[in-house]
Amino acid sequence: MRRNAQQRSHLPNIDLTAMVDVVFLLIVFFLTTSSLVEQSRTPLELAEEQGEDLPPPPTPPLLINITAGGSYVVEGDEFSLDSLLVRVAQEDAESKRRNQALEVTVRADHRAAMAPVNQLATALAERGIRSWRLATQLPAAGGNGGGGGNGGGGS
Amino acid sequence: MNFTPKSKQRSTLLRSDLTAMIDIIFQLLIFFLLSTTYAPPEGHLEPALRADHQEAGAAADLVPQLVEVQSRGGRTVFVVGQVEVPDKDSLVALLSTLPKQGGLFVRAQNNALVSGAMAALQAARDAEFDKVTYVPPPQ
Repeated sequence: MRRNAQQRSHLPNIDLTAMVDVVFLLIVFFLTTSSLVEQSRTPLELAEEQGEDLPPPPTPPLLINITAGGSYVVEGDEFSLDSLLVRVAQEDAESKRRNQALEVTVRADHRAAMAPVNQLATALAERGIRSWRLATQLPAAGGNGGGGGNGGGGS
Repeated sequence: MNFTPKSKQRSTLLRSDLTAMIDIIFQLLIFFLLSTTYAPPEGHLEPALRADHQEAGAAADLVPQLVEVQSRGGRTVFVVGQVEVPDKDSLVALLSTLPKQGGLFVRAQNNALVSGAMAALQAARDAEFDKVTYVPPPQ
């Protein structure tokens, strides 16, 4: 036993402080950057457009995803148009209770037809929602930006 | 008075074993590394929204400055009045010549692709229209 203790004292004494500091920094970084909002994003191929300079919405928006097949997806769940409008009405009532306007962001796959977007837009406008945001994928840095990228490739 | 040399004093200080803590920290780090998915930044377009309550046979209330996005044979075509343009750059050039005061309406037919509609909305912004309104076709 005594010999063991002596052996231990001869082991090199590594100072782990710097490593622990770095690891903590990494953990804090991942904790802060992986926000829960991102979880409501369905993986879609958005239209590659620059968009416009807009301030961030004052309240977290209702994120409506429209897949290439034309389905409505909110927070991972697929909705029919009718059930989606029920959800929109609930969110709208909730926002009005807080004296805020409902923020709606639509993320539509660039390969989708406009029919589901138009149906949603008509329904929103009829319910008095007069502004929405359409999400785009920012062009890759160094890309030619313009390029008339209207897809074109048909279905 | 403590006459023991300083080096010996230091060795008697309480030495906590950090192994368990480092294990947990590494587990957390690996968890976050594996569970984090990279989400590319997204841009946004914010056209106003307006329903067109145009009945069949009724006079259209959206005559001036309307960009219509159509799909013909799988290709996107932008129609402004009597003029048709095949791509976004030509549309920006065309829209730049129009007066900006009245704003611009954009409408995409149901069979047009989302990419075409987004290109039209972006073209309107690139042509420096402040008021851009998306008007879905009557359902």
